[in-house]
Amino acid sequence: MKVQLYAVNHSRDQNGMRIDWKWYVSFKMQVDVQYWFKQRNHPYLIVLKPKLPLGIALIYCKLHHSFGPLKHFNQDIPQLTKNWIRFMLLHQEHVQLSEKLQKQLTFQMVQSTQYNNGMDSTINPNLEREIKQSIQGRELLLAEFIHVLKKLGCTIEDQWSSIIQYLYLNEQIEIKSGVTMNLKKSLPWLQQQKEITCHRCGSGKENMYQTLCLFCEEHCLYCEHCITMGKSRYCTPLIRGKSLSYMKSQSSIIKIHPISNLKHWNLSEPQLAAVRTACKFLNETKHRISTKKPSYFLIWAVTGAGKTEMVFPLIQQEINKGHQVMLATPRKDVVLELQPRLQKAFPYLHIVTLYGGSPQKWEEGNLFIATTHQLLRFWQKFDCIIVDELDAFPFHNNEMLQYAAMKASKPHGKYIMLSATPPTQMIKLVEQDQLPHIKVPVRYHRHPLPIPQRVSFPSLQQICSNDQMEFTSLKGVLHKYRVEKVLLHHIRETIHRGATSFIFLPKIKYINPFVDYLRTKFKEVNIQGVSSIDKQREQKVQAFRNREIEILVTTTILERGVTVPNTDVYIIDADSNMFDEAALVQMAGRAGRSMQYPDGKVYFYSNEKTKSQVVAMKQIKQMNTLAKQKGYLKEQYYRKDRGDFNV
Amino acid sequence: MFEDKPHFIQTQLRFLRSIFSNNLNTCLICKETAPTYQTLSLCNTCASMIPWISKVICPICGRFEVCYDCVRKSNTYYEYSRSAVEYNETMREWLALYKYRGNERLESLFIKMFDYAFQLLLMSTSLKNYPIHCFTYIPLSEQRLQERGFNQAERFARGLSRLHQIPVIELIKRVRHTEKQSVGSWSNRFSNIQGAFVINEKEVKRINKKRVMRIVVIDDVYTTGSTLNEYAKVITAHLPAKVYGVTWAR
Repeated sequence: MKVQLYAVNHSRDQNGMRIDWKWYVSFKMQVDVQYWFKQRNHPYLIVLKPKLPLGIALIYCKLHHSFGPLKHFNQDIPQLTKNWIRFMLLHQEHVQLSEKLQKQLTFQMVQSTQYNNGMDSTINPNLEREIKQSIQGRELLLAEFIHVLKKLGCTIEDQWSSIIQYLYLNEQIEIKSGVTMNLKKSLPWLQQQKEITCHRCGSGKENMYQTLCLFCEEHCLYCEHCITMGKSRYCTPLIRGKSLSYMKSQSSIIKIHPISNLKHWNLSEPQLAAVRTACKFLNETKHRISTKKPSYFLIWAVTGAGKTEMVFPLIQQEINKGHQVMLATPRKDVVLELQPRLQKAFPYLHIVTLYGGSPQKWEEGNLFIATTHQLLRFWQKFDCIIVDELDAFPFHNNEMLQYAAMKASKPHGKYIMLSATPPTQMIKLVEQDQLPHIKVPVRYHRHPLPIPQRVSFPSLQQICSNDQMEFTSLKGVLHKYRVEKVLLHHIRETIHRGATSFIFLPKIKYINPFVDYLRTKFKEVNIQGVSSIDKQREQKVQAFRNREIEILVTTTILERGVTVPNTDVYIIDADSNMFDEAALVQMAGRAGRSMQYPDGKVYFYSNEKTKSQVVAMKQIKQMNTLAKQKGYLKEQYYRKDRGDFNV
Repeated sequence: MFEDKPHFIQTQLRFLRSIFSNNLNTCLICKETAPTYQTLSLCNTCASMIPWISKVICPICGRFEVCYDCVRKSNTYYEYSRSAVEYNETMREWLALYKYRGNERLESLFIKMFDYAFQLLLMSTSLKNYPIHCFTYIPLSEQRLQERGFNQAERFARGLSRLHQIPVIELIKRVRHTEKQSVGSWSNRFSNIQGAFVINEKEVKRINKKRVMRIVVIDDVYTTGSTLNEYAKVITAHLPAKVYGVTWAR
């Protein structure tokens, strides 16, 4: 997209000189001319012709060229152009104009009668308010903005440009280019480097790709990283709506339960303790105003501690304060599952659910539940962001989503992160006591976590040196190593207890042979394999939940979310590098989830005792000890003398 | 969020890693590291998913299986057409990545795949001894072009022309905005496309009309051949030409 670049001056100093120039970009000059000439003190408008690509125009805007003192503008135009070209050359490595454009550059003085076709460019105040309301705190690409306008009933072609221009001049929105270039010195003695970043997802040079662009007729960069959410280009405007506080339905919220009364949430003692600490964190006002970074709080709760239940009182407290809250979770099904539960808990609240293809995309509300990718569309909107399972797949090692989460909160916003297995850097921060946190070391049923047992077992990779694992070879080697017995014995025991087994393998290709092998051994047991490429995945998982499938063989895709009472967990090849400690802890957390069967069994079958296994076991044991120290466990674990407690 | 090292050290480390790692290629589709010997710059898994048309069964449309459409059709204006791959679910996704999502980085991949289809065309008997005179492409309507930002067929044609040093000529203009061909039914497509094209007089004037021209039309997907047929009809009405088609998928 090409825009007009112009400078305005509407003040003279004592000598009648015009010094203070301000630069703007314009999508529709007509609106600008009307806007400026409405003001009293005869402004000077100088337009640079021809139109420039948006990215370049915005950089010039920021560089803020000053013309120097001017008196009689009309005589100076050639001088000004010369001046400007010198200025441009100065910043040449920063912004490059094609030679064709450079030759055409001229300045023009604008009169109030120019660009005037008699139309009034001001917007209907009702419409203006509606637009402001629906884009506040959001960061939208032009296409998305036009979509919003269409929803509000602006169907006239090209109306968007005057609306954008109007809002821009009135400082209701901020306009950025999708991708920007900056100069940055990485080390003082090195040359300055061009730094290219996507304003929307924060990714750098490695995700940029240059093509000939139809809209700006130049070579134009686009960001490949966030392309699934729309194309962010060097020349597409990114529109940031100023965030107003959302007060609409605040009066309608009935503050049924003051936060001090946590009883009706039915939380257990350890959960309550965590909620109280988190509430204290939320109520804290910041002392150091100079640090503009949002503050973080980690709730480190073991698997099955009831994390979701702990979120409810926190949300309530924030809502009572009139804040807007975002609850971000990694998966869409969790969003859909949470919505009715939250609506039931807060019947008066307008809850907006956002995910790919959500019908509520542009709605406003007090509480947002969204998949983490949707955070990209917000800008400094939320007072409190709750991130569920921040170590799970999309968040883990994904700088884009972390960037998105950063920018979606207000400068003084608060983050509450929930995790059973925080990433290692965060654990380090916790140990150094730099990150405020609370641990919930026990499950809601107050039994200790099952401790994994390690069993020596040949690695699957050894068994099948070929790519395709044969069922016969597995059998042969298992016989050879005489370990088949152990595995079968354990599984038999599980079946005998009436429990289901959850078998985790490191790779998809092992699943089918393994299932076949088990089927020969347990003929009357329903054994199924599930992988990410399985089309019947959801039916199979459902059947496993209903206990129709007794043994489920799978990969790490089911490491979280699936909760089946009375399950034993087998992790084959636990030394594989597919399983890091977080995955191991999560998988081990599938066992012993229910009140009736709190003691499931967890086995690590591995050839080597790797670091991740050791760390995972250590983490689980530490949590159990902590729970015991705090007195969270049931009385039966405190009977007799201390030596009896075996964790 | 929790970078444990200062920013400048990180950038330096990233720089060093880029020097010392020998695997600089990443797969265009799935972003995994791709082996350097893959000319399509895909990883092995993605490369193995391409359903290449290795054996052409239908001599008219270049189909990989027995074709009833071409027998049914009576008046075709083009000679024949060749395609590189079978249009299945995976290929549909790939094309959508490029066409609708607008990930133009995939262009090089598509052009390389187009080259395969072009070779199939050249291998066919009647073209063995004669040169191809020019490429041309199916134009997009202005509205669609504004939506998408580029014309995929034009990009492919330009890419092929770079590879083979054969010029691209814009022979046809589109006068009517039609519905997407991918949504219409089989019979709908015929009526939908009729009268949508008009010859580009300016270019035609410059062409020597005394000898027969062999023109290759580039398009992304061949489903019923109605677009290609309509196109060939317009061209043959104005020029003594033989029209061939090269499409990416069939």
